[in-house]
Amino acid sequence: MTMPATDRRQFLKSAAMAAAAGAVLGETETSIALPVLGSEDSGIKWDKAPCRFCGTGCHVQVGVEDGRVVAIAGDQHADVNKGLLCVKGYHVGMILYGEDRLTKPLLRRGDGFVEISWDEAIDIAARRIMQSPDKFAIYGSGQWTIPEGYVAQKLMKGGLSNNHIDPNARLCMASAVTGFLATYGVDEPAGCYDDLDACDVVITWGNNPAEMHPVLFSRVMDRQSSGEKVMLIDISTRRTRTSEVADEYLEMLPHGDVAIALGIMHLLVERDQYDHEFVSRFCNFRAHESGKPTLKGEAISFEEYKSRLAMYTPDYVEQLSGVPAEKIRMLADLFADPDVKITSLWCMGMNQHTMGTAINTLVHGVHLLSGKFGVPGNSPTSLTGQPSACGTAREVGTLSHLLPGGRLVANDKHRADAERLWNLPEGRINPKIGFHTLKMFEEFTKEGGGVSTMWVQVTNPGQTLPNLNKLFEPKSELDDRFLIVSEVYPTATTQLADLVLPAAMWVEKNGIFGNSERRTQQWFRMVEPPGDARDDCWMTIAVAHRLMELGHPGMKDKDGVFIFHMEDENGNEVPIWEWEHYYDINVDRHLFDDYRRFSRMKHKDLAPYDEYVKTRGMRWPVVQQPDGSWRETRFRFSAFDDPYVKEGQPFEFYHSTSGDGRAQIWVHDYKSPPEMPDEDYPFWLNTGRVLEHWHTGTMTRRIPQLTRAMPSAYVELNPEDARELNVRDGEVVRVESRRGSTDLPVWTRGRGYPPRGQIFVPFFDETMLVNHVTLDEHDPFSKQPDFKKCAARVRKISA
Amino acid sequence: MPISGLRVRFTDDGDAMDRGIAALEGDRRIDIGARRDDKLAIVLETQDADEDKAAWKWINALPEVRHVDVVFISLDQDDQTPSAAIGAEGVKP
Repeated sequence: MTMPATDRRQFLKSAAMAAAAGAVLGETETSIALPVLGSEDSGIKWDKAPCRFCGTGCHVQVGVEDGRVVAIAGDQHADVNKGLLCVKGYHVGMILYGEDRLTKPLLRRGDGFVEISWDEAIDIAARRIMQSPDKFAIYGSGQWTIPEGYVAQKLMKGGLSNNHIDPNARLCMASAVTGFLATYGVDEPAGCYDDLDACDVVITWGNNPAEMHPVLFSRVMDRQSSGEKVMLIDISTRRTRTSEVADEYLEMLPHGDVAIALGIMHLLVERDQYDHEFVSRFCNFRAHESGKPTLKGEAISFEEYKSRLAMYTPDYVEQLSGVPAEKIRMLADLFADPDVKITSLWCMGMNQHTMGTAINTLVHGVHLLSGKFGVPGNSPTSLTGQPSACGTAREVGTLSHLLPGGRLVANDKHRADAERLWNLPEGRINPKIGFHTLKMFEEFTKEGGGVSTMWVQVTNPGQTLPNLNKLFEPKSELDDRFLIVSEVYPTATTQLADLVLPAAMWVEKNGIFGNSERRTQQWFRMVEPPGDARDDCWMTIAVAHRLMELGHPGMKDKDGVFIFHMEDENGNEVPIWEWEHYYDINVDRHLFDDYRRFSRMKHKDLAPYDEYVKTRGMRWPVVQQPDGSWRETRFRFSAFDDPYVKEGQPFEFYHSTSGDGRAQIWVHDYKSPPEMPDEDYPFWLNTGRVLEHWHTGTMTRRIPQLTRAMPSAYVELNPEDARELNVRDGEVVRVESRRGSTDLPVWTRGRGYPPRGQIFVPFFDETMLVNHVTLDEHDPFSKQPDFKKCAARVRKISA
Repeated sequence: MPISGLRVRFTDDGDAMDRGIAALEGDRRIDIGARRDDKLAIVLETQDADEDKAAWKWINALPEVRHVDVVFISLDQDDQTPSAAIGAEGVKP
């Protein structure tokens, strides 16, 4: 039923006032009724969903009328955002309605595409896979929902015995993963966003939350504006919006973070100001001693640790990092003060780093050494850039070396456990680690490479891979390679696709995400996808079923049953591979409850699906209580909150790599970046995001308000460098490296302010691909490339 | 016709909140709602996206206003979202 326009507007105004009043008074004291979830009294139906964009995990309420999203409100019931949204979040509903949504399966014919049916599309995809199942790869995403990632990885690892599956999280979070594993033996932060409400000091390590995680950042700003004393220290290579409001801005040279962390450790040890009790009871010391370094490293004594730190005096750290020695002392003083609670935040700055694993472990180490751990407010916390980088890419185990629940394909027992839970014949899962992202694309784009067919889901590697001229563009020259892309809009990746599958997005399908603080968040489908667009999860299941029909033995379990067999409540099989039956049951619920059995194997316990329907997410481990209720965990490894810590212990690192319940404090030597500015390429190039656009802009560039606010990419240049190059604001210059170039307008007084010798380019603009310029050097453990530093030059084009 | 629900935070400069509310009350497009401490709920209704943007800018620029948070927005069906440059050309049957 459609409401009269005036009534509809009045209702929307009431809803707007209710939302605003809730944000002022708090939800319990709002006298005006909030939009009622599920209510249709007004003609507008409201339901909850996490925002589609970043890893913060804000919740929105989505208003739907006549099958269309008509309003977005910040969700006051959500702990994460308490009703607030950022500029992207409150426009999130518009991502569904770009005029060029993909609505039909498309098959390449020469330089163009022809529309085909879904039956044809699924058959073509399956036959390509059948040609060489071992040369098939899936490249997925931290934007996959948990069920989507789960079916993709079960298809590959449990069905095709092929581990060539990797998510784009390899490009953004892999070093955080290896940092957590090397330090605690298990992935993901111990603390949570509550730390931001309790800390005295926030240190942002190469991180700009004011633009990239604005709602989270507003928690700190709100405390400051309420008169609370919260010190903000921003360590960065260029001034950003975060720097503008920081109490201390410490401008470092690229890779300076490694030296700074070592410098803090050096002073804590040298001045005997570290936390003796915490360290002696709960920590070991680690380093790479052998020629074959591993994530476990080798044990070293405190004396050895101390001697390795000895050279990192404040003066030497100043030389390496560019940060004045007195500021290194200031940081060490704060960490030495037992009355100060410190939360460290980081994201791509520390992860997209050729010493990514090292700097992650060093920042954890600074916190452990100073005992600033495990108490609300004291926490080393990595943030994620994608809505389910944690929930799907990491927890579901879609990385090429993982199985669900943080388990490993190379581990005999872990494979056997997975085979048992999936009812697979012994030996089905391949023990060999699959190709990581860079290797996968290298193999796909070189003559005779090990990948002949690739399926890209929910991501845009044609824009986000580093060194595109090496890792992506050569595909167009190789006729025997077949690229399948599931997408919602045309992108730089679909340009080279052979088969394009139109996908449903966000509230056009059921979904579950997991945010940066271990919070699992569920939502239901609210509107139909346009045209023939369909769920990614369905596509994977349909291809798996077609593979079974074509005779692939891996699509059946050891009893000969389809690996994605599902039954309704009466025990009848539901043909979920047929789209018209896909929503006969809640496939997400079936997949999630199947997957959650794995979650308990590494104390990442998830509650049953229906528990998440009732909440705005819960942070794992979620453990059932004697009364049958489910309790989330805010602070892991701390006895006061984590049910898995042994009784009588204040802390326990129960996945310790040393097997003794202790965390590892690492020491690594500083190393220079692999490529540095020289005479020919005199600038440091840094890349990243901007407030208005999310990642490759495929969604945000279709929102007029955001596009008007930030219409195109640019190169940020220091005004003095611009003067020396004789270029002005708005003038187009060529930014080039040894790998490629792109042309960009100059911006000297823009969002950020780079020091002399540095330039910054955002990567959201598909018409100006900065990843033609970037470097594909990567961290040796995480295999994550460094998008934050390489050598480049800037050339004036016009006369 | 966009409708926004906003939370306005005022500076702690004396009677800044009262002066700020007086300024907002003078604008017929704005409905004033609940207030607490330095925060005020308002609803803004404008004719189109450009006017909406200009109104937000005006509110933000008031000297008494410290910060504006958006907590609700209606989506206008007429405001069709555009296609991005490469994509629109890149994949067409």
